[in-house]
Amino acid sequence: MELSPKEIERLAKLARLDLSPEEKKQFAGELTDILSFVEQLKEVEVGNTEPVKQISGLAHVMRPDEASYTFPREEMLESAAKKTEDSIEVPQVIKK
Amino acid sequence: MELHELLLSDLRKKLDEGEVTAKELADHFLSRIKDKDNELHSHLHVNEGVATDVSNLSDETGGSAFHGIPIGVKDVFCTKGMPTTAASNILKGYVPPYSATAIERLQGAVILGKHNLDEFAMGVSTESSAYGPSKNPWNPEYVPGGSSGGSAAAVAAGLTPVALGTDTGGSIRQPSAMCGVVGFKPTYGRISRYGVIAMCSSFDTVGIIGRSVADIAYTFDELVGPDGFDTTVIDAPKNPVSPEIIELHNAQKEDNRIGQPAGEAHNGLRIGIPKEYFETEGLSDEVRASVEVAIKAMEAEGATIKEVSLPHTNYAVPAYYIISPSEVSSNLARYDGIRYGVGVEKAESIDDAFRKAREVGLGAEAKRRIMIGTYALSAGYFDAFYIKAAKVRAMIKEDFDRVFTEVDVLVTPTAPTTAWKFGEKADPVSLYLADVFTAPASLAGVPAISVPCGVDGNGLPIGLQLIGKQEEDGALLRFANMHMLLNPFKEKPATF
Repeated sequence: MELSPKEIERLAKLARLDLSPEEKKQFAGELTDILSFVEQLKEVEVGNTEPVKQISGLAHVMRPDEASYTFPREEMLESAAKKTEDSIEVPQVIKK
Repeated sequence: MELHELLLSDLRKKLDEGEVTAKELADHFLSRIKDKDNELHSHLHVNEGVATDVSNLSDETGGSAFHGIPIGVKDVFCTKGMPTTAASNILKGYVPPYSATAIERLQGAVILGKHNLDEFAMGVSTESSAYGPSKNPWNPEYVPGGSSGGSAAAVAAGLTPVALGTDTGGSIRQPSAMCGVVGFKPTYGRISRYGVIAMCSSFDTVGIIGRSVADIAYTFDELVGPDGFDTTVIDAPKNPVSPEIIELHNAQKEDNRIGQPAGEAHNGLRIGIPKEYFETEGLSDEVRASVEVAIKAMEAEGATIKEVSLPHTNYAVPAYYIISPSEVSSNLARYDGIRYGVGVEKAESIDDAFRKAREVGLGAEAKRRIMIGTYALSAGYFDAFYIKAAKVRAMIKEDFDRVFTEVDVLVTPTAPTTAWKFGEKADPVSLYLADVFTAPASLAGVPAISVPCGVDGNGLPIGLQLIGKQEEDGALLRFANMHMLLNPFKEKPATF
């Protein structure tokens, strides 16, 4: 299965990656190799086997719906690249 | 014996009896790091001030096992107030406002520093770290393995007595084999991953690297059990494993017999040798020979050796490299340069901000895996790739379940070869094949441990892997401990 640079562009768009032309070319080749490698799974007869969802067998682990602890706002804001006094700042999302 | 040669339980005793202070211990390891880590580069961050901080720890222990004990931590564990980068540029300068549960559980531990790894724990050599690779203490021209390569190197060189790591497809076991130390991946779900930077959520397992099974067990007992944050943690009964194991260490006599009648130490144990592992192309003769010697030693101590079959073994790596990148593409979607990590100065739109931050901040391997994952999960390909791989995973698990009705433990090599030289393996697929023996246990969620069993003609360590039944971590550790006490690995790297 050959991955074209166009296909790479589609994947890059979905994954929010801004690839350079060199990267697109390099990844097209490498990803084609990787896909060729994993495609050997086509050979496996899986019959009625169910796909694995959770390997430990745990499901629906619940807790009471009670708010427990909070982080102070200033501590949370410290890691943000751009911020105002009480919020994280981002480029405009909704255009008028 | 020097302080870095002692067991954690011995350090505990010395601290409790006032023979050494927490500050002296911290200073001892920090000066070793200062002395040797310029060459090894096992650390991304050294907590240089910690020796002064410990004077705030009262020298009377609070009764906790790790009070005053130095540890090192793979840089995927959030450590409050200490940089945490996952060896990526996108988290450069990130300082978490909280610590992972695994860190909190080791109450009073003295964190010496954060260890280097492959970026976001994806790799087998640390060559994809955004901050440069770590070196193998046995020969600095060789890789230490990965992704927990920094941790394995640090433990092997005696820069830290024990390290916390993560194992997703082999990331604790493989570097431990490359560096001649013990690396344990517990049953998936034993230890909380709250505060651990996620790579693949159905595989990531917190584990431990140390120089002896006794130290692994000592640490494991403190880490297990639910914490109210990570809902994937199994609520298994807490049966401490370490007291019995440490007692055997202390009982060890000159002849390594530890009071066991000759030829009977493994009486009643049924050991399975999965034939597909030994038929693998790429398994080096020296690794095979060393593992076979270890198996013979087990047989000589009363174990029953049986050849078994895990027929889907060869599909483990391809299945892993479909499911794991899929999970990576999801888990790394949060790195957008907005809430944490490195952002961009100028962006025309929110989308532009995301794309630019990720382009600059993420390395090539991260991008490759994100894109493979995006492909495998996308419309039109989801059934053929992701669902198919998840079904093959179920069949691999069934192979293990079936075999564990006939035997108690499996013995295999940890990796097909010993360490290789930097730059020798550049092609992604050839690097993926380093996981051929470790990936199956990760897919099945069963516990597995790598112990050193010899060195090759170049003096590089060889790892022996023991695989146990799901949730029978104690039994696996007891077996590993007994084997190592009877077959001690005495070699040390020059840097030790």
